[in-house]
Order: sequence, then C-alpha cells, then structure tokens
Amino acid sequence: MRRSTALGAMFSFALVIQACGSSSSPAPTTGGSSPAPTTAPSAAPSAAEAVTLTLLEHQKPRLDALAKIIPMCETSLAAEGLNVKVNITGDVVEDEQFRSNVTILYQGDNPPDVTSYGGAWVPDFATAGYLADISDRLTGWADWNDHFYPVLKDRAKQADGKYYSMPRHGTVIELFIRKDILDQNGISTAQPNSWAELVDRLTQLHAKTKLPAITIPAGKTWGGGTFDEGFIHIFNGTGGKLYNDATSKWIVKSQGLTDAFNFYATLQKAKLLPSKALLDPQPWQPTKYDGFTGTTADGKTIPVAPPITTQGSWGWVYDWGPAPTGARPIPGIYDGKVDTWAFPSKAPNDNFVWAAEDWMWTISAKSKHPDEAFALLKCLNTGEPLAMDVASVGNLAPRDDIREIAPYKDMPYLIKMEELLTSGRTFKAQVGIDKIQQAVGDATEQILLDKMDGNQAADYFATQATELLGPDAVESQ
Amino acid sequence: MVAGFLAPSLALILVFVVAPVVWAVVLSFTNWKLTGPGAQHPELVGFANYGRLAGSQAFRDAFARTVVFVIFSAMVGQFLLGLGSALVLHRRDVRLKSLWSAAILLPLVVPETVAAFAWASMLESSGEGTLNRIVGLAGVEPIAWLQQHAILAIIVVNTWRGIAFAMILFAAALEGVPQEVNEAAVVDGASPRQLLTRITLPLIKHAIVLYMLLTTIGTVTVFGLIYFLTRGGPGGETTTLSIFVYERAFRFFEIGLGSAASVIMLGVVLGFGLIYVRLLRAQI
Repeated sequence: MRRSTALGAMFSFALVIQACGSSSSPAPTTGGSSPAPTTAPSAAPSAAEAVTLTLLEHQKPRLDALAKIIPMCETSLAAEGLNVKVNITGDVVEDEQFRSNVTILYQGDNPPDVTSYGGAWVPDFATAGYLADISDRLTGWADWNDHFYPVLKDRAKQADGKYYSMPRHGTVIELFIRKDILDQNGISTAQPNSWAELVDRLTQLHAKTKLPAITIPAGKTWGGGTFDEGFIHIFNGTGGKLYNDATSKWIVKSQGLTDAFNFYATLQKAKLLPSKALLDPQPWQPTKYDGFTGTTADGKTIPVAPPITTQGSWGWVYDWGPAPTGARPIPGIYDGKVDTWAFPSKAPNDNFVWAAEDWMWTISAKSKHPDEAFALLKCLNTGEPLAMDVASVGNLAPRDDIREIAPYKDMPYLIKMEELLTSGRTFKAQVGIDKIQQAVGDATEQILLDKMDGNQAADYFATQATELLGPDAVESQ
Repeated sequence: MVAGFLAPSLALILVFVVAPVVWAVVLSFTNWKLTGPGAQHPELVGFANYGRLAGSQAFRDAFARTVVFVIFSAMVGQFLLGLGSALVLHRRDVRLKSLWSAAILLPLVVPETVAAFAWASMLESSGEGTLNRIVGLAGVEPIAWLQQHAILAIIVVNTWRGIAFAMILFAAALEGVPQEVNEAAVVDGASPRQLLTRITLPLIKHAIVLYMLLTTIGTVTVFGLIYFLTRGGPGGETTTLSIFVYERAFRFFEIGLGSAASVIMLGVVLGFGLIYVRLLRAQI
C-alpha cells in the first residue's frame, strides 16, 4: 500500500510539473545585471567594415513601410561612411503577446538591436537593464533639441533623468464622432464643455436610437487599451493625480479616481456604453469597426453602433481610412462625415486632448553596435523615412519639421492633429503601469457587469492595485 | 542490465521533470522578476511569496474556482458521461457502435486551439452563434454565454473534451471484466443496478482510480481552452490557478510569485492523488 501511495504521488507530481512547468522554468539569469550602459560611444568601424543590425517589428503596416524605408536609410548611412545592413524581423502579434516575446528576447543573449513599442513599457524594461542609455547621443543630436515636441521629450525621460528611448511617432487621442449620424438624429455636434453636457448629449442620442451612444474602452479584454485609450482620458478630466513623483508611489485612492469610476458607472447605468461588446474577447471589433461604421461589409446594420468613440489619430488611416490600410473603411471619412471633440472634464470649460508618443524606438543594452543603431534611429526619425513611416499607420510626426514632406504632407487631418501636440494633456508611465492597467481593467469590468457602482469600483481598484503592486508601492490621498 | 534500460528514461525525467521542479521550488523563494528593478538583483525572500499568495483574495478565489472546475467538469461530467458511454457501447445490442465511438472520440483528436475557436463560435453572443440560433428557435433572445454563464460554459467545454479519454479507459477496463462473473450474478438474481454497483464498478476500480488521478491533474492544469475562450473573465469568474500562474509569471513577469503559485498547484494535485489512492485503497 505504501509503495502504491508513493508511486501515485510521484506520478501525479511528474505530470503536474510537465503541465505547468513552463511557467516556472525560465533560465534564472540575473536579467539586466550583465549589460553595461552604452552611453560611451563605441569605436566606429571603418567604411569597409559591414555592420549588421537586427530590427524587430510587430505590426504589419509598419513592417510593410519599413521594407521600403530601410533601404533608403542604408543608402543614407553609407553616404555618411557607415556600412550598415539592417535585417528586419517580423513578429506580427498583438501587443500583449509581443510584450511577452520581447521580454523573453531581452533575457537571451541576442535580442534585436532595435525595436519599438508603447512608451508605457519603457520604464519596466529600462529599470530591468534591457535598454541602452542613449542620453548623451540624444541630447547631442541637434534635431532632438530643436525639433522634437517637448511633451514627447519629457515623456521619454525616465525617473532617473536618463533617456532609454526615442519617440517613433506622436499621437493625439480625442473623441471621434460620426457627424452625419448625430446630424441625422438632431444631436448637436458642437464641442461639449463638461461631463454633464456630454452625458446629456449621449442620453438624447440613446433616447432616439435605443443603442449605446459612446465607446470608451473598459474591462479586461481590451488589455492596456482600457487604460491608454479610455480610463486615463476620463481621469485626466478630474484634476486628480495618479502617481506621486515626490514619494514614487502610485495613488490608488483619491477623489479623482472615485469621480472617474463614477463617470463610467453613470454611462453604464444609462445604457450608453456597449457593455456586451466591450466584454467580447476582441472588443475593438464590434465597437470600433463594425460599430462605429454601423454596417458590416455586406451592408447589414450592426445592433451596436456607438457613433462616438475615443480614438487616436491612427483612426483616420489604420482603422477607418481607405483600403487596403484601413481595417474598416468609412466612405467619405475625409469629407466631413467624421469629426472630433476634445475630451470634456468634470469641471466646465476645461477641455483637453491627449498628447503623447505612439511607440518608442529603443536600442538593446546588449547591442554590439549602439552607434550604428542610433544612427539608424536618427535616419528613421528624419525627413522622408519618417514621413513615410508615420503616414503608413496614420500617426503624427514627433517633430515639427516634417509637415512639408510627402506622403505626410498630403494628410491635412493628421497635420491638424499634430498642432495639438503642443497643448495636449498627458500622463507619464512609471514602473508598475502594467499593474495599474490591470486593476483599471478589473474595476471597470465590474461596472460593465453591473456588479459594482462607481464607489465600489473605486474601492475594488484600490484593492486590486495594492495587491498587484504591493502595499509599499501605493498610497491614498 | 535493467538499470541500463531504465537509464535513458531516468535521465530524461531528471533533466526535464525533476530539475525544473527543483528549480521552480528554488525560484519560489526569490523575488525574481523579468521586468522592473527586481530583474537586476533577485534576492532570496524566504516564504514571502507564499505569504503574499495566502493573503491574496485573487489567489484564494482562483483556488476555489479550480476546485469547482475540477469537481464538476472532471469528477462529475467527464467521469459520469465517459463511464456511461463506455457501459452503453459495451452492450452487444447497440447498433452503429463504431459511429457512436467515432463521434465521442472526435473531441480528443481536435487540437485544443481549434476546439476553443469552435466553441467560441458556438457560444458567440450575437444571434449568429450556433447555440443562440438553436435557442432562438424557441423564441429565446441571444444569450452572451461566455459572459453570463462563463464558468458553466468552460465546465461544459472541458467535459466535452474529456469524455473520450474517460470512455477509452473505461471501455478497456470493461473488456477485462470476466463475462462469467456477470452471468453468475444474473443467475443468482442480481438486478442490472446490482450488477453495476456490486460487480462491474468494483472490478474496474483500478481504472477508476487511475482515471481520477489523471483527469484531476489534467483539469487543474487546463489553460488553453479557458484562455482562448474567456481569458479568465469576465470579472475573473474563470480565472483558475493555471490562468493565475500565467498572469503573474508571463503578464507581470513575477517569476518568483508565479513559481510559488505553481508549487502550490503541485501540492494540490499531490493532495488529490494521495486522497484517491487512500480512499479507494487501490493498487496502481
């Protein structure tokens, strides 16, 4: 009996470890302890000495654009005496998956020399020692000092005062509206000047259509987008603070947070949010593509059609622009059918737009050729290569001297938004932002499920954030 | 000679099972992370990760949910339906036996991701979903199955997927029950129910224990089906231990904490295994 018990135990022990071992078996290297900062420029190779750089990209339109841009940069670098060959690697996956993939690559010995991703990831990667410190190179570049937008430069600077990334594109996020649908329903398309005015407008629309009136990302399935494209724009309208720079702690309980969750709860209670669609595994499909256009490809009307949504500048091209780039084209999008509103605040007449980078370029701390990698980034962020890159996905130039360069110059709707980069409101990501994003997703999901009101969701957020970040990393106000 | 034959297997088990287990236990006592400041200088933190898990409502909820998931999808659903299928197909008077067997075996040969996508389509919340089309025939409005009945949905899907394995195991065991024993019992006046409870089940006890052990292990560690269907939502309703471990280890890259949760998972399965063996007093 004893022997059989022991055998059974060993058998189950072995099987469960086989099943879940993948979560516990990564090699225990000490992460970023080995790579040294690369602030000091390395010796430049001679003109004849070829250097091969690897560039990792995870979004198809950007990959296609880079295939055209990189040869231009190779030629440009050759003219400067740098014999650089760039190997582009495509890893076309969703952002969350890419984050896992790139983290594992950084742990290995040969991470890509250059890659780009959301600026919110940079603090965690930089403090882990994965990214090269490019402070000296960046501040020594005249274009950086003279032409890049201050808001983007500030967002690139990390808590230690150094730079580990360079903004790839700029973006402005606003409320996009289907002007034609609002007009049809007799709803004013003038800028709403407070939350109350916006809710009133949405309520009128709902009374006429019986449909959800606005998409504000919420819940867990939208991932980081719930925070980046939804919650932060509500929270920024409260006047509250989410991070205390003085104590380096996240603020998880405050009047501003309670107000923000109550705003979500107000929308949910009045049936103004497409809550069922927001809980979908891919919520952007029914809410931004099928929903915002109101029809499917075969002309059927979709029952969830919020004609107002939070959206970044890329909506003009990547989401609703003409095919083949646009995921779900809106015919006549540039002819006045679609317009934008700034985000209103809780207090009257305090409207604002979100201004930030859309992805940061980074150089791996393990790169053997940081000088060449930086030279490549300078090329990618200059002139025609940059104009082509931003136009490929409908983003904004991160600097002020690209407006006259094709193909970007032919996109006046983007240039109009670029002008807002100087006055937009923002929130700078800090270490632990991924956990705050998760807690926001958890709390807003409880509202969508009608399980909590705004106050309860605010308490739930505080609990979740404290649990994920640890009590030492949070505080109340 | 015997040792020579065993050596390759033992070497593989040592390298790919025992060593990772030991390493997982070691990691569970560290604060090692893959991102953030914790990635550069991991330190031993004793039982801090275990303490953090003990105080975590999310972990306790995931633990309880896993127990419910195992009981209803594996111990009840798969076991009863698998045994029932095996008993029915064991009868000589069943027609189209091979067709029924093939239908039941089908879920086992479908890759997990394909099965998940097929069920996602079946349970689609709009009126286009297969299940909603069916209930729509009775005038029922479309139901968001994966949102309103998430835990029930994943229990049903996992039951569906596991019936075949149970059936194969029990069918093989039933083949081993001597026919003359059943015939003698019938001659002695045993009812069909008595035949089942007094003759058949005791004689396939070993297979039942083995099945329970395997299905418990397999169900505690189910990840793909749940992740593809619900990602642990809505509102964490389907976050089982495996999803919890994944989120901590590969979403937040807290390897130390994720390892501690894995070690606890291991303990849970070991506990289940020991209970089966002791309660049923069976030899494997």
